[in-house]
Amino acid sequence: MSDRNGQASALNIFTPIRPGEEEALHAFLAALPRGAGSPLARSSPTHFARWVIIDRLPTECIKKPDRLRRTQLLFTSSFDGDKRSYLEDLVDVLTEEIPEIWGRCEGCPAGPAELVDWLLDHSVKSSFFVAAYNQSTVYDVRNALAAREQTLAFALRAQDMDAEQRLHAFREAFP
Amino acid sequence: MRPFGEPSLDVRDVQGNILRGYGFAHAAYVWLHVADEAAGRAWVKAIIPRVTTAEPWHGDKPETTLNVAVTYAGLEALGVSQGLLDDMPEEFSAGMAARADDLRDAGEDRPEHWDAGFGTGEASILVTVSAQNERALDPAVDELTGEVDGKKISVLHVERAALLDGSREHFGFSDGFAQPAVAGDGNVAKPGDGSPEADGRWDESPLGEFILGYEDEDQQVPLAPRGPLGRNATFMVYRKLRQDVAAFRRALRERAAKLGLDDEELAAKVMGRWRDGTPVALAQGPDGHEQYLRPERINDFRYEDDPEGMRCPLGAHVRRVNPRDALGWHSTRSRRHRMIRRGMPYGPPAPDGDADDGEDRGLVFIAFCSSIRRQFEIVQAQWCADGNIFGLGEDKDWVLLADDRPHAKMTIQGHPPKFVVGQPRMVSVRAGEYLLVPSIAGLRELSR
Repeated sequence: MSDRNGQASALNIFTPIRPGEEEALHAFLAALPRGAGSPLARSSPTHFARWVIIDRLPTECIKKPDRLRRTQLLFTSSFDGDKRSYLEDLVDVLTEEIPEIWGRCEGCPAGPAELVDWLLDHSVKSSFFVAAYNQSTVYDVRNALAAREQTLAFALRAQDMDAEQRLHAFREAFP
Repeated sequence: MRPFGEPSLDVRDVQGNILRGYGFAHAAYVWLHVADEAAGRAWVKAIIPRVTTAEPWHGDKPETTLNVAVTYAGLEALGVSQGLLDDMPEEFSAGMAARADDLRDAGEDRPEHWDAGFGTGEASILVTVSAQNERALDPAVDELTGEVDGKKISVLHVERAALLDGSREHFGFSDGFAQPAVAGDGNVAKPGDGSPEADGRWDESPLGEFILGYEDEDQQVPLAPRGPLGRNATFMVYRKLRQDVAAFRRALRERAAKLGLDDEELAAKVMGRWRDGTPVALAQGPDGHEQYLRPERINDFRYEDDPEGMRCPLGAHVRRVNPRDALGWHSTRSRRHRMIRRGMPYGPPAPDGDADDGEDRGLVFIAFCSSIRRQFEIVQAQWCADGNIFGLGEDKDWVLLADDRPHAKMTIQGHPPKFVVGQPRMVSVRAGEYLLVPSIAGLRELSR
């Protein structure tokens, strides 16, 4: 059991949703923008993270899924660094969203420091963790993607050039 | 058609055409809307004796065959209990239109641009009539459309399809001869039909990959409703794809000239097969294909000796939709994503040249699988509409999907690589539905 894979860490936080808040929470999460506009995009160490509402435990072969006493909110994340500093940063960049998300869960404290402790108290260790990027930080990945874009743009342009033009264009594109 | 052996399931209960193609040249897809539950059930009851099963034909083939599939909205219209409906896989209940984002359908492919009546919940039942010839097809379709009253049950749409000369699709490629090998389906598999194994063998897919109620690749019984609806049945994907032949030819000609390639060479590289069906993984040039065209040879190839796509480009259409061993660990990463395809072209063949004649033509894509999400949707969304798994970044299937982003391209790997720049629209989705193909017992259940 490990929450570490290369430089990447895993975090799983289960928090019970206050009865009656399930639908509002679902609606809020469903309406969050995706991609670059996602609030999670503001968290620079996050590789991948999501919130999932768990109201039952079905599997493909069990016909009668287990009911949970309380609907749970799962936050799961794959990120660079240690858990506490990651959550401190996350709490800082999600100030607007947190009351709408964890604020709908049982016992969620108001202050940022208490909130980080509360989240850590509700975290569960991963039984098996594989990170998509366990050798590269988010920063490395973003740089590599930018380099790919730049190289690609050059390669497509340079395809129709003669050698001298290509050399000139290369020096211009990669000063 | 492959020889028919001893199947390990009750062929009288399974509808025909799932595990074995009929080999007919004509088909009509008759879409019905059921507005009245009792009338719908009575219709199902009356049609059961006419449904073609998988029972082998002794002697001559029939003139026509008939098969029935039902959408989720159709199951609701027939009054199927909520308990059974709740057992259905989520993507089937939602329907193809609601899955547009998951499928990464964009632009003209979006459901709001589809033919009237599709993706709206109006499509209830699909009756597929296949026929040896048009003379036999017409009266069979007339009979079907004539016996519904137009109110309680009405005809939503009739799509006719017919094989083109040489079993080619409209872009001119030989099609329909590569199918998964299925254990216990009664067919005798040829090399290359199955999944490539380390020892050189081709492994068959378990029956549960394509028929509900049996174990699949994960030794699990696929998610399906309890009782007869969930046994000897399968899920079906119907997707009408319009093909702009003129645009395809123009795109090939312009880009081939730019890259210093012959049109046919470029066509083979983007498709992964030459027009006659010969895999570019086997034949690099346009000649000497005879040795590869035999049925036991045409699919007998792998990508393990071409990991960088020097022979068959990594993003070639056939390599994307059936990567064989291209994803590593032999077939481990591809074998859970196979489909049985029974598509057929619609519309008249395109005249020579690349002027647009304004005719509607394309392919009625039909696929059968036990899990629409795991099989069809993964292939469509992850393997065709994205390139990440193949190390191709965000490249999309150049033939199948339009891409108007500034750096849209297909890479033909080589030293140096060639970039096929710009990805115009050559195929567009015109209609689509997910369906359940019940067993005969399942149809009886629906008629009660």
